[in-house]
Amino acid sequence: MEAYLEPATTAQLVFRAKHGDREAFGALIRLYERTALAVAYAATADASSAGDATQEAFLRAWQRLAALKEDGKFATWLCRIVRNVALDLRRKSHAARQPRGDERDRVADPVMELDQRETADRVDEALWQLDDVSRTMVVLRYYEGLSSHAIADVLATTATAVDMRLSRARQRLRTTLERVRT
Amino acid sequence: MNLDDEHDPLDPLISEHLRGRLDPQLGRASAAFEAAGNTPQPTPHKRSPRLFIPIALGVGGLIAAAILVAWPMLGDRSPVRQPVDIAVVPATTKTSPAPDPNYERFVLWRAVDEGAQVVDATTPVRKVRYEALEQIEWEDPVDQATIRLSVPVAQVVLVQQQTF
Repeated sequence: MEAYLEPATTAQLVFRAKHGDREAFGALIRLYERTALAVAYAATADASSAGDATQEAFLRAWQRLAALKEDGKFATWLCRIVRNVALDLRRKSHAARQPRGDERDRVADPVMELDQRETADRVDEALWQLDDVSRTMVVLRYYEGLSSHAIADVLATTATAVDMRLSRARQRLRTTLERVRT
Repeated sequence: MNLDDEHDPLDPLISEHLRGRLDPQLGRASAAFEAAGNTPQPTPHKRSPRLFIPIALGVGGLIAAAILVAWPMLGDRSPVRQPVDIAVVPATTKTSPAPDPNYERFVLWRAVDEGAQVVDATTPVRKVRYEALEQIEWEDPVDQATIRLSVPVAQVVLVQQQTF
C-alpha cells in the first residue's frame, strides 16, 4: 500500500494539484482509485454504480480541491465525497442489493459458471448482512488490502475499532456463508 | 466452499469475489478525468485584465514587503529548523494552457525534508516544508507591456512516523 506508506507523497501531489497540476491529480486518482471503489461498492452493493460514483467523486474532488485544508488528509476527505456520491446514486437507482448478472465473469463451462454465480451470490448476500461501516472496512481490507491503521485513517476512526469490527464481521461472514452452504 | 479447512478459505474467497466485481471498473475515473481535460479548477474570482493589473501590483508589493519584514525574524528563531537534507528535487510545472494566449502561469515548487521531530513528547513526526512560487505573466496585446506577478507559498506538513 504505497499510498499509505508515503503520506508525504500524497500531500505533495495534493499541493501540486491545488496549483492546477493535472498530472499530479492524475497520480492521485491512480493511487486512490481502488480505495474509492471499495468505499463506493460498500455503499451501493453494485460494481457498476461504484464505478460511476468513483468517477463522479474524483471530478468533484478536482473541482473542490481548494477546500481541502490538510493536504495529508486527502484520502479521508475523498472517501467522504465518494460515500456521499455513492449513497445519492443508491437512492436514485434503487440498485442496491440487486447485483447485476452481467458483471459476473464469463466462462466457457456452464457448470463452472453456475457454480461461480452461486458463490458470488452467497458472498454478496453475506456482505450485505453487515452494517454499512463494517462492510466498508471488510471491502477496504479484502479488496484494497489496507492495514487497520490505514482503514482507520480513511474512515476517521481508530485502529482498535477497526480490528474489533473486522473480527466481528469475519465471524458473521463465516456464519452466514456456512448457513447458506448447508 | 469449505470453511472448515485448516487454511481459512474466507480471505481468498472474499478477495477474489471483490476483485472480480471491482477490477473491471478500474481506470474509469482516470479516463473520465482525461475526457474532462479542459475543465479548470474553479478560481475564486475572475477579474478583467484592466482590473487585474493594479490588483496584481498591489498584492505583489504587499507580499514582497511581508517577506522582507518576516524573513529576518524567521531566520533568528530557528536553531532547530536547519534542514537535515534536501530530499526532493525541485521541480517546475507549467499548468494547463490558459484560455487567454497572452496569459501564462508557472508553478515552481520544492519539498524540503527538515528531519524528524517529536510532537507532544510522544509522537514522532517528519517535518516536510513545501514551498511554491506561482508566477503569472500577462502580456498586453496592444502595447506589448508585460505584467508579472509572483506569489510565494509555504506550507509545513508533519508526517507521522511509525514507532517500532
